[in-house]
Amino acid sequence: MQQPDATASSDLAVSDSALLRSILETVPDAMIVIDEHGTVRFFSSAAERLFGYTAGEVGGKNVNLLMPSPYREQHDGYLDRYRRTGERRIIGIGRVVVGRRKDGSTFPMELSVGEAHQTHQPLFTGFVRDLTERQQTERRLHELQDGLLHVSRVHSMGEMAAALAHELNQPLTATSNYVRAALRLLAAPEPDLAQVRQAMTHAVEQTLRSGEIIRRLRAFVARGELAREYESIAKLIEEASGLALVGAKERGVKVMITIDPDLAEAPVDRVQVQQVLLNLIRNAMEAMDGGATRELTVAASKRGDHVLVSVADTGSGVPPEIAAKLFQPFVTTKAEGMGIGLSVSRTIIEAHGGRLWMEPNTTGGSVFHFTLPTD
Amino acid sequence: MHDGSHRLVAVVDDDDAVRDSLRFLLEIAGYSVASYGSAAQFLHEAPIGELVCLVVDQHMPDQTGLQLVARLRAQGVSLPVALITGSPSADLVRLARELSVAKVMEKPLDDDVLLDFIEHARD
Repeated sequence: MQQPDATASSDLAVSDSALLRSILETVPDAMIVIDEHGTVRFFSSAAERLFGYTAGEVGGKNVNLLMPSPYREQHDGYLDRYRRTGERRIIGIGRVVVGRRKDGSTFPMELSVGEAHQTHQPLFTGFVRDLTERQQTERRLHELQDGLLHVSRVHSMGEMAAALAHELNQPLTATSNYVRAALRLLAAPEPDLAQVRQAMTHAVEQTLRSGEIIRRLRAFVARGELAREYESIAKLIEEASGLALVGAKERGVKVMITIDPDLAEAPVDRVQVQQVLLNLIRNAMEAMDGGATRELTVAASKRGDHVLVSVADTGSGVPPEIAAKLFQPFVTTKAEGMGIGLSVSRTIIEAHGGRLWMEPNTTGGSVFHFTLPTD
Repeated sequence: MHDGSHRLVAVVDDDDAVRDSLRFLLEIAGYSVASYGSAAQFLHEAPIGELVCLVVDQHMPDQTGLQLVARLRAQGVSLPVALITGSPSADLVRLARELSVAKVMEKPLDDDVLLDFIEHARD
């Protein structure tokens, strides 16, 4: 363990105590201690492994080095605000945030921050868990993102679609039986038109029943009206990425998250837009399974009166015959998929007044873009 | 052509509309239909000895179509059976074959195939 900052450490009991330090080195979570200016005063071995920096490289530097934009630029402001107002946004609360490794890749992490006043100046201790590395992560994240639980997971989408397929098949079967019966009646030399009429009436009832099932599905997916509020798009993306990127490291996927610091707030139904992001990011990761280059980029920027969000992968791309009908329900390239995710995603984005589309990635693979109006 | 005692077809499906539409179709084709909303109701009420054949849905809440067929086979009933299902997986088809189910049909149904099965059920 390298001493982070020899000059600053003399008044810190933390770094003076070899015993304490040896204990801290065994804590499996990465531990980072900063002072009130954000300067790193302690960087544990677990933190070195996690972020790829040595303690010597980050000691004495601003901790925002470990954050991607726009958090990097904002962090000093957070510390400053806390000094002035004492308002706690993260201390003692903990939350899922995005960390940045030395190589520039980003990852979801759970951050718990404690505050200590052991000398004349406060110290903040951060415990970091790499959520991409954890077996239990998925469950933990779902607890954190309870609002997303409802329909977000690809898995539950699949289940929902299977249930839908079964339920839709019943009125379709009945409709088909009635129409075929009517055709048989009409094939007679003197058809019994009263019976034909009866068959067609029943057939119509059953098609209406099919429509009702589809309406129920839509209501289930959309949860009725959109619950729109002005939300920070950056925060929304950060949270959804944290959830969606679980397992990215195991899959060998390098993740870049680039969010324009000037990104405005937009009136959105947070849970639904996160559902779209989750879907796009999960698709992107699956598209790169087995590929040589696995780079996933989530980007967001301001474009006039709307926000443009893009999810790019370096997978094999979408075959042209699929691309033409990509957003139709029940079109899929996945063995296990039901082909409903993109169709629902587009419905959600269009309900927000935005657009969702796909382009080939210039470096191979696909880019999915969507827009959200900010007015 | 059938004589009167060989024209009764049993339909078992938990979905009212599917059941009623099958009754309509089969009656137009000249059969009498006895329909039941569950396997239990069929076992309790159906005049099994008088039936030409059984058309039964696989996916029902209490007992599945194949469970009903297994019960019948255990009782020594050799009634011809057509199993109707929305998802005819390989496993389902294999199990059906083991229970001497004559036909596994995917919903929506092909009426020609269904009526051909019924027509020749007692051959």
